Amino acid sequence: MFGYHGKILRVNLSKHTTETRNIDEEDFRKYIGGVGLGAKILYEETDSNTDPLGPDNPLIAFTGPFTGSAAPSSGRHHIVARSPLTGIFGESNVGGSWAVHFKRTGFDGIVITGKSDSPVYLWIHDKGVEIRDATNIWGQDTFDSSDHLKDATHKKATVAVIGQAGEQLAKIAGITHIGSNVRAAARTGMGAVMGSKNLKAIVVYGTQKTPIANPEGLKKSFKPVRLHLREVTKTFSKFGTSGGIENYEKLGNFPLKNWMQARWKSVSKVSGFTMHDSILTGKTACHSCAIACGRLIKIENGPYAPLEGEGPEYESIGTLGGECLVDNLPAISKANELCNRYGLDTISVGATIAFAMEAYERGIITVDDTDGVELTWGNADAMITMVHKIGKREGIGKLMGEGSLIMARTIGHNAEEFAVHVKGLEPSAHDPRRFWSQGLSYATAARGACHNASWGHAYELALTMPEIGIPEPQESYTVSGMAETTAKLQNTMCMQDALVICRFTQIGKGVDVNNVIDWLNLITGWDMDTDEFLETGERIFNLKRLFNTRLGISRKDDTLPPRFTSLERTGEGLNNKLPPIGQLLSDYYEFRNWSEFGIPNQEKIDSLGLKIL
Amino acid sequence: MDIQLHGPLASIAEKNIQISLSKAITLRQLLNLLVVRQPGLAPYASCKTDIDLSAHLMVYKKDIPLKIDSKVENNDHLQFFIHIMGG
Ligand code: SF4
Repeated sequence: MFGYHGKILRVNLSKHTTETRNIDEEDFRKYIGGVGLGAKILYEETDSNTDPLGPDNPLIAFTGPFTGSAAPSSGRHHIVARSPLTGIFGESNVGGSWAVHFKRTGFDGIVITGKSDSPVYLWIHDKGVEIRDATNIWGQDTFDSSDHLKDATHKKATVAVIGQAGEQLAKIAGITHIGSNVRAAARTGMGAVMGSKNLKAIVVYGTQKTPIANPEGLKKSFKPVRLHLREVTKTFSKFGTSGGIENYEKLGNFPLKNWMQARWKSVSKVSGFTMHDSILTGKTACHSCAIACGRLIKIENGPYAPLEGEGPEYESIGTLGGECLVDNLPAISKANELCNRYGLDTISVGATIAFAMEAYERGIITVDDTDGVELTWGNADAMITMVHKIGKREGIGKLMGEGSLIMARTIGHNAEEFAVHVKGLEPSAHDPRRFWSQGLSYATAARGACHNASWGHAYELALTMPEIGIPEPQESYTVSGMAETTAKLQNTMCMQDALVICRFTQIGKGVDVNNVIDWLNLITGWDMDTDEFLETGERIFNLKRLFNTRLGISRKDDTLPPRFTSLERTGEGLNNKLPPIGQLLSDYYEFRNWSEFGIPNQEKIDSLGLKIL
Repeated sequence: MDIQLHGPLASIAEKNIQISLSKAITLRQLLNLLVVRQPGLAPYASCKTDIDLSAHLMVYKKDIPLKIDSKVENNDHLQFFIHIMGG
């Protein structure tokens, strides 16, 4: 078998046992890896009674055939489990160097079940797997823990580690990955799943290569694409993801004041341009990535100094900054760093703080609830105090760590009306009133309000994918074609998450579907064509849907929060309209061959080869 | 034509650029003109297709983003922003 080791590692933490299992090439071809195989295993090994924070919920991390191959921007992996935040399919895609080091230990994926009776970490290396005591680092933040774990294992190891938030089962806890850079598998509470198993970290370092079917052909195929990719991403690389903030605000895509406001005079203060001119010291890249969108920053003076390390990304600035109206870039950088240390999802944290600020403004919560903190819009210190409280699960932070939906239900007073989430997951910083395809994808994505499930905003603005039947950009504010474009993009993004390759390779069409299929065949020796590629993406998307429909998810849940369907923002030059979600959904279900209630039809299930599940 | 540059573009070239056009031209042609006049803009404005453009720039007329083949004319007021896709 080429492109894979054909092996997964299984760890049972209740019994402190490990075992290697083989995977057939047929399964790899059908589900590829990453989210595909992760979803298959999760579907097979759970049922509707599986407690997301119970020992039977498997925590699964999967690499893909691209991992370790030098395919551009492929140093990534996908983590899945039933989400404690949403109760449904949980997933988080993460870059860095963990995937490559893990795959070099001889495994394609890892499935962790059970619960250790005391804190442990896994040390996976060329010679084997060790379950080691982690009592002495339990309670430490991710950075300190990582330093300790690298000293105890290998200085070049990469560490996937939870902080205090995951240990204490905050439902918006992620898993921080620390190797050559810092990256977070932030979304859907995967850190809490890890904490529920008393698993502090998974430390990896290996040297084993994966065989490649046609290494010379692959090298030849990479070369021109890499040059093109570098050229089209040079502006992105220079300013990073947050370089998009000013233009996205202009477009009406940037979230402000818990999604109430459309225009912000302070927007330039938090943009990637300001970061570039003030606190930026360098760039960081995930393994095998020439784009290097990560930001290295240094703050030497002022109330948030000293601070040195990874700077905040677009989404983190959108939520911790825009949604809370905090226009202080050092403060946002501090909050971002704290989220990485505590092991928290910056998106859900920022969004939940913004929700709490609105609840405070409406008098639903008061200083009596916040331990005296005046939770007013734009209050940077209050925002940072809340990050500490969420990370330590102190005071109101305990409730906020459950995410905005649970918080809304707990504080009552109709607060659910302004809790902005889909299926319990707070959206990232893209407004569906500006990009309807984004809205339709928020409503239908397996994990809830996920911007990465379709990347629709990019395909409304300019991108095309004739390879998969999107010859022109989707016209904004138009029902016609919106459902089909969204569904096709979702299927293709599933393939990106299965292979696993970074979304940003799409910028300027740096890498297209034909490149990806070519590489897949050169790596594996397969003869996959575009139709099979698309069907595989569709299979994975439907499998995730079936996981959710088994839990009772249907049309009633495929919706957008009231803020997106009833609040029309106003502002100079603003051009946005409320998405007609019902109409879009009907078209979408029809295109997908799902029932009017959003359940995949048997014919579709059979045609995708999902019957056996 | 009045062109207003935003963000870092304003420090590379002048914040406001006046250009005189005798007839309507495409945005692509305008970008070529600008690069000749303000070579510092070349890394962002040397775009041949909409997809190239989307990797670097967004140009607005009356708050509507223009395509590379959109026509612009002498009495237009345009706004240029650096565009980063994704996030
Ligand atoms: S573009 Fe950024 S997030 Fe993507 S692989 Fe490269 S460094 Fe990582």
